Amino acid sequence: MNKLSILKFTQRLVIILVAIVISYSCNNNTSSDGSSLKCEDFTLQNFNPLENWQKDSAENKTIFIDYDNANGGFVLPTVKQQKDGLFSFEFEIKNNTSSNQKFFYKLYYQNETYKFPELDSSTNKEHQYAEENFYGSWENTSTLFKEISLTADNNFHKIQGNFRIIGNPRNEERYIKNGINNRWQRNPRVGKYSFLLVVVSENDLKNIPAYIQDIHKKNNEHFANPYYYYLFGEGKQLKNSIATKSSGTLKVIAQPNLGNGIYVNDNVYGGKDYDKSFFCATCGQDSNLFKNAPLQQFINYVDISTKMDNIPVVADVLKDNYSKMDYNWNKSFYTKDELIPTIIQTAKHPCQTVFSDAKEKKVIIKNPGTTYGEWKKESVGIITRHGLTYGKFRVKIKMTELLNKNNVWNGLTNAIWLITQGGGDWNFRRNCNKNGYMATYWGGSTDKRVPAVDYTEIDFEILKTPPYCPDNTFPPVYKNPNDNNKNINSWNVKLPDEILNTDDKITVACTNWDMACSEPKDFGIGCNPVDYKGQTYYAHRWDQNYRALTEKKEETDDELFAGKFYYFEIDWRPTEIIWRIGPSPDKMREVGYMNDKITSIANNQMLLIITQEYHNTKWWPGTPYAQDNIPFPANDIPGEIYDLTIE
Amino acid sequence: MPQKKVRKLIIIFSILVICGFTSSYLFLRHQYAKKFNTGAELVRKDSAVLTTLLSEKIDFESMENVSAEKAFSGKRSFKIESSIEYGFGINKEMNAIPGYQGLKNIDIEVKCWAKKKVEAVYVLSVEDKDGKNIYWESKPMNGDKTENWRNLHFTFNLKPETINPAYIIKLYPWNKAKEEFYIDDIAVNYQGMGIPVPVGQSSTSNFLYDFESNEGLTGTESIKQTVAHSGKMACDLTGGREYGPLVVKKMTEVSTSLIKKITASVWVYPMTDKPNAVLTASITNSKGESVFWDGKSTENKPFPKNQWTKINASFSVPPEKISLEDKIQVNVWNKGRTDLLIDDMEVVYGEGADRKGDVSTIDANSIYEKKFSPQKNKPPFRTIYFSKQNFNYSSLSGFTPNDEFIVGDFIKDKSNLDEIICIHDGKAELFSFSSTTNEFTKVKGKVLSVDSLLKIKKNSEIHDFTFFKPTDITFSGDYYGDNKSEIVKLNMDWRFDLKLVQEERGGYVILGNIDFKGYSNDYNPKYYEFTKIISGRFISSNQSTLIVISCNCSDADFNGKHCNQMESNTSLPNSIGLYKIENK
Repeated sequence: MNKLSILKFTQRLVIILVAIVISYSCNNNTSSDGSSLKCEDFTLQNFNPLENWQKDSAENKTIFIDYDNANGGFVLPTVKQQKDGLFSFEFEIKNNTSSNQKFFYKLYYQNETYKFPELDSSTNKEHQYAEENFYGSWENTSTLFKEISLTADNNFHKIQGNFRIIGNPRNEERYIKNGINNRWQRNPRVGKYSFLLVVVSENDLKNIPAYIQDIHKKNNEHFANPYYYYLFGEGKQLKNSIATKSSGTLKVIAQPNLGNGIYVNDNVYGGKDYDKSFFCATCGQDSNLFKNAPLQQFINYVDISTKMDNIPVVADVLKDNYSKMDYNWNKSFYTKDELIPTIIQTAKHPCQTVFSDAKEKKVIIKNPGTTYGEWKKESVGIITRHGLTYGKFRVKIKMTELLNKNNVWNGLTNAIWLITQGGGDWNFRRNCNKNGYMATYWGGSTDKRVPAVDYTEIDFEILKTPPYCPDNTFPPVYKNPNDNNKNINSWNVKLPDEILNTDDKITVACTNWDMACSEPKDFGIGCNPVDYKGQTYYAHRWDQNYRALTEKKEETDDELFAGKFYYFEIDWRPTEIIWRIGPSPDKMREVGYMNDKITSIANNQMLLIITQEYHNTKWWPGTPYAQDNIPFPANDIPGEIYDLTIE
Repeated sequence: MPQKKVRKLIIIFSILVICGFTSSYLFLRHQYAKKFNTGAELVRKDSAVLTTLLSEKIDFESMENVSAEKAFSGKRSFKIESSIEYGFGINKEMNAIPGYQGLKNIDIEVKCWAKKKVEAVYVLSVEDKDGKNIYWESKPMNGDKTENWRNLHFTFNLKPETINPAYIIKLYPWNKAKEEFYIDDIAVNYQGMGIPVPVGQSSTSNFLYDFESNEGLTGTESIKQTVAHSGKMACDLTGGREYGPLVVKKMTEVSTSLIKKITASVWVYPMTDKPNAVLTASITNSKGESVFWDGKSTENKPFPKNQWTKINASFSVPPEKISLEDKIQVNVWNKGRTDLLIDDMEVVYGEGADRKGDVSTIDANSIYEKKFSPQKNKPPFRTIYFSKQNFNYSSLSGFTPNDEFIVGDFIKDKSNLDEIICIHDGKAELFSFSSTTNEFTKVKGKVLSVDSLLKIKKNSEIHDFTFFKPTDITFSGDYYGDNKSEIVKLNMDWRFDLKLVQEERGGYVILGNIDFKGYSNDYNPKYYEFTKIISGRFISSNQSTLIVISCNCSDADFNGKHCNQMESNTSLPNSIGLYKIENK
């Protein structure tokens, strides 16, 4: 080694050493590992945010949401899950100075799975929507930093504290009404949580803005995300402060026990008297169900203007070998006065068609069979009672088959969908800054536009209908039948090839109701391709004022509904929605994908609904079987829900 | 079979044979000879079908100078007073009937109320433009029921020489005895063979052009033998050729009313990338002015080179801009003038005809509130199922709906079961059911006299047209096996309409629509073009059952009464079955 080389080596060594010294010196130190962190005035080590939870698991811990008595909002942990109902955290701190010192600390938590990044890499500023992230700190937001007094003994001192994760952690006025903090209106999100411990010197504390110390406070009408402040923003420059993000996380999973009952809410019957004779221990209104049932019977919205004139036939399409010829004859050879004027029905006798099985922890729903004189097509379903924002909603379910062995449709739509928890202002979705949203869900194309609405919906709707895209083969060209009984071919018309080619398939329609907000930069109408993981999906919107964007994928009815069960998953993320289906959780495949470039993605709180519902097929142009020409069901049509997991 | 029975049978047969076998045989031979006309070339029936060309209904509700004294429906009817000789008349120029060239008959239903039997007749008169009578026919309007609304049903058959676009059809009641009565709800169906259509669908609104022939097309110079989607021919739009063949239809050719939609499809074979071919629909009025144009392009759609890809289009037609005299054009415009081929163009005009009949009067709320109660003889009716019995039908496989059948307990034995005499091709044969072998077998013996047998059959028919239509076929029997008699009523005028009827206090009550169960695949008897029912106590002396013979017919002008050429249809093969009610 010559002198020059030695010199260069020395220079590099010095640079490295200086860098190390700087990084561990007296500005805000951030670390995500378990090693000690040091600044000029103090040193931290052994930060454990969940000291009393799953002690055997050091890093990734899990907690299942306790649905019992959770009407006021989810709490993590509950007293059932952890004595005192609190997580305890701990860390060790050493005073590095030669005098007694006061230090101050605060613990923050944030949901990491469903968040916007704190830093907007394009502007190098806080992300516009980082304030929407679910983060919190002390339950009492007016408790700011907590004080630690340390002597200069050159020893580490263990500091312990408690916290819990609750709804409305910022105690926002939006969710407080008549002095009641409705924490359930902003429930803790599922997914992984991180923990940020911030310890500061007395001097640094003075420089931390009030809206960071008190997460209830706003800065210029907006909340400020503390993670951004400490990890990327001005907080990073604090001289004698350490912000350390735990390496371990807490995964929150919601998996309600489906055997815990179905509650019946009077409100859905509009205050009118109704039959309660089917109430039982697992379905009804008793106080146990009111407190603990995770589900409620769902009553579909029925547009009374969409009257059907149904053929007067009662048959079991799935079991009676009902054929296309049966369909065609019934379509052509009933007179108007033989038809049954009706609208889609909903349950008039709650608990008659929904059952919660406490033993097998499952729910059974049944579209009831009907008879001559009663003639009804009754939709059936359940809805969760606790709202969530974002999550991977996965159901293990055996829904009814939709096609029979002749591939004739029974008229039902199997739907797994998320719907706004409603509520008005508190549950408004983020403002639409370009043209606004269509004001109502049900209004026409001339509905007024408003900056914000509470309506949101994300759907799986599975039925017999053709794809809209690519639109060269839409709509199918259906021949007109002619009611000449002397010639079979005149009335028994063949379906177009493009329909028969997928005769055994049903369509999985994936829809996001964005209420026609045109703010997304690639907002479009007609068919537009969306690429995701090597697949191209076609998103379709009828016109500028159409409230929903739909992607369709054809799948075989037998695979989805003839087996023992199948999984359906809506992965609702802040900037994406991914629809997946599969035979098991580890074999899920994407069938739909949308992102915030093409559609406004909901950020409010929603509920999950599972229904077997009858649709007016006028909603689904191009459908080969018209609802009016499909028989009334002769027998009950059951569906079974085995599991709901939200993570 | 015991010898005694055989002897009895031989005696019966012999007497009947002496009475008139020879003459009957010759007569029926002539009538049914065509059945085995296997040498005749099959006519492609789909090219012309018997269909309703035009329907009209007059309920007098919006007319002035009509009677408000009584009405069958609504509040008004037409009163024919004793001073009036000719009642409300319908005049129709033949050229106002879409497809009048194929007009075969006029079917009329009219409701009539009279205090007593009337001698009036309903008249069809065909006249030329100068008022000269070309054809005249009348049907009696009498009926047994008085002081009640009666349904009268007439069918006037028209001969080819009475068809001329300039002729005028006149329909009216002739009150020749100057009596007083009311008429209401006149429904007229002009029925005939639909215009030829080049597609395997029997409809005047569905058309497929496969370019194998130029029929129905203009501007066909681009059609040639080339790469084709089907067959050998396609339309070649290469070398800058801009327009494909044109389909032109007058509105009245494809619909009896203004159409609201045109749907069309065509297969496109681009020879270059990014073709821009436009499937177009346009409408011009009688002055030749364009009143509508729309098109759908292949541009920006997945039409890969050297591959057949279909384009579908749906065009909404503004009804306020069009009239029945307008012409509709559909074609392909090669807007991009790139090289491409097109083939198999399909056009569907309109959205299909409305269902027949009046709007249902059922109160939907009565259903929701579970208070629905059916009204006597008004739809919707219950469905009563007859189930197919699992027998060996091989000995009956020669039965066809052309045959005549007589049912009775001809063999006096302990079983008390009915036997069937089948008159087939001028020959009568006897069949009976054996409960031992669970099958029908032909009874061996001499041939029966056909003439006398037919006389027996005619005597058993019902002639009460106050409830039944003249075209109804009726059978009576104990179908529930409860020692009560019911009537099975079949009407095939429009559809296979089979009802179970019960006599009640001198009238009749429809118990329900009869449908079938237990058949294989799609072989429901009601789907066949030509069906014959035989009723009797064939398998049980306590319960009547139905033997249903179901066939399809390939006659081009099949009228539902006799078929010259039975059709073997693989999806709906000709079949026979015995059906009975399983449960009450």
